[in-house]
Amino acid sequence: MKILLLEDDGSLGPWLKENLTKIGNSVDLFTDGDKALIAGLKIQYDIMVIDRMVPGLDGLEMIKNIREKGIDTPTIFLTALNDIDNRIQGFDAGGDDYLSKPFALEELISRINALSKRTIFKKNKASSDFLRSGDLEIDLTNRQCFRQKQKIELNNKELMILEYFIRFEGQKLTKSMLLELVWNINHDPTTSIVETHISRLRSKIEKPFKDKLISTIRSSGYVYKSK
Amino acid sequence: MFINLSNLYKKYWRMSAIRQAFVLINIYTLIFLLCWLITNLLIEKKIIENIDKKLSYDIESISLVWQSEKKLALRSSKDSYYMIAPNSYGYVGRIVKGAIFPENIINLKEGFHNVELIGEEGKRLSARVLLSKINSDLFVSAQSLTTLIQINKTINQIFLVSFIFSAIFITIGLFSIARNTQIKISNIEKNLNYIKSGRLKTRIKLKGDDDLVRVSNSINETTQQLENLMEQFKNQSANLAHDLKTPLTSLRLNLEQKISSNKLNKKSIRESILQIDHIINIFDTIIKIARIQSGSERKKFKKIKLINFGKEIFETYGPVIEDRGFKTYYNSFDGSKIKLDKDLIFILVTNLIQNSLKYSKKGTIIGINFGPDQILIEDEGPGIPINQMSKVIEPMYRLKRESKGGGYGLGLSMVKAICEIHNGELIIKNRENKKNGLVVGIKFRNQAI
Repeated sequence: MKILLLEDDGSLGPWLKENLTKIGNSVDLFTDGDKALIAGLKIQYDIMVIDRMVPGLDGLEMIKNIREKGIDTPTIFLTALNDIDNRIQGFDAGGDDYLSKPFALEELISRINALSKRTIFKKNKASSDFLRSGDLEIDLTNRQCFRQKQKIELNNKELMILEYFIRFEGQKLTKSMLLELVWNINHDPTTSIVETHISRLRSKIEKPFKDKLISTIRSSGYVYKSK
Repeated sequence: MFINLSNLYKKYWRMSAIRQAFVLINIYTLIFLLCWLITNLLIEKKIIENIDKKLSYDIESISLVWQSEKKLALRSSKDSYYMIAPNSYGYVGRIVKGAIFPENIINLKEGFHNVELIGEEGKRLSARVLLSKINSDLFVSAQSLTTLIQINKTINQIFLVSFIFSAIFITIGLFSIARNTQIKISNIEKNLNYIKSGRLKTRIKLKGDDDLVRVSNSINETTQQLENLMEQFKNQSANLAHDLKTPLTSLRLNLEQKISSNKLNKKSIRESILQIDHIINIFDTIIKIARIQSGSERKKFKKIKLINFGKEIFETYGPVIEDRGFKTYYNSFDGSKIKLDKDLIFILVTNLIQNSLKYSKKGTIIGINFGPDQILIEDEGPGIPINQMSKVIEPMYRLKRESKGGGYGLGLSMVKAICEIHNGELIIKNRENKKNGLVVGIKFRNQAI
């Protein structure tokens, strides 16, 4: 993926560039908003990772300018400003996701991957009320789940988790991403909500069929792969 | 001298109570003088009207008798004087009953006039005169205005005495009230200056039950709140520094040991990251509490039914509680819609459930109760000693059993802040008639938020 990275921190910027490049991305690092805006308007990026408080044009204004020109490149705001007002400002300006500092690199990578995929399924959402993944089927209209044509009783939250796993198949979903997507929570409740519900989901969609669809990546997240 | 007076005037003019008293006295004086003037004019008008009527009647009588009998029908008395000119009797210049008409009276036009008659000792005498010409005869009728002047004098005396007395009493009364008010205002100002300079123990002591006393009480309550917050802030900072030093020291030692024993591997680094995350979590929680207390989160309030929200919460937490080896139940009571922030209430419930999970024995019951106007989490844990009930909601306060491990004493502070922003009451009590157990939650009170 071609990534525009706007980060003025002298150590964090190059470190992020290095790590994102290592996993196969091409990263253009900018330390001020004006230069990043020019690049964002001229070059077609797949993702933009934007720090809000940078010299020159700030991250928020830069994205507003980009959106005004009709460019809808998926954008993640990366910032120490983490209260609800700042989040709303970020989304209003045209941001798609918001990650507060300090963060884990794994979390950023997972969000970059998910965001690139989310934009695809956002576009196709109207026609995706029925999801199929291998031998698993979800009827979102009637809130029903089937595996190998057998009906599986899932509660609302379990069904939502499974829906996102299928939509982001093969990609890692972190705990905080699941909390945001399924429970709409932007903080870590420090209880095992995600673990418990995934464990219950597993016991319903994996155990009776004696195979594994969801893999746990230790203290980092989960990946779903269909059979 | 002039400068001193000017400064004195400026000084008193700046005192709002004194200024108001001064303005009120001026207004009172103006109104009084106006009333005085109007009363005088009205009485004079009425008396003159009556005199004029009498004079017209008298002229009519004397003219009728004169025309038929050629004699003056009415005799002049002490206050009334009559004359027919020109005639053989020639009253002009004659003293009749102590007064004479001036010689120029026959030159006046017909109608009413105020003229001065000349009394016996040359004293001038104000009178109202009516001149009327019938055929070639001029009839003159006059009425002394002595009574009117007397009435005017009496009225003026009454008004003057009333004004002097009332003005003295009102001035004394108003200035004493103004002085009292001014003393109170100066007292408030002086104490506010003390508070401004950082002496938060200052309290305004005023006697009585007027609005200034109420304002002072409110200022005292605000100062008390400020003092508590400052106290809390000081304690919090000290506790925070202390509590952060512990995990930071352990992190430092851990890394030092690993380096010296050459065991700095992925596992030890991961452990260190977890410790750092823990420290970040403390900061995040403190920031979150501050943000809730500042009221900036109030924008997200929406009216919802607790019974519906409770179902969602139980769907999320029921499995978590069961998986941790506890039993659980969900009770819901239908009620009217409550204005709340779902995210904040979620945090509140999370904190309370976390506490129950942490302190209760496995196999016991943790209950979730929603509605009609309250949310309560009930457990069978050890409860809280009565003497520590009020302290557990203070930031960073930990019960003895907690200091062995686990919490940072921020959970219930967060719960308290969330209750306050919802104008709700924090309920925290040991279970009644039960050996063990605690009931904690929020009761929504006034919804005018």
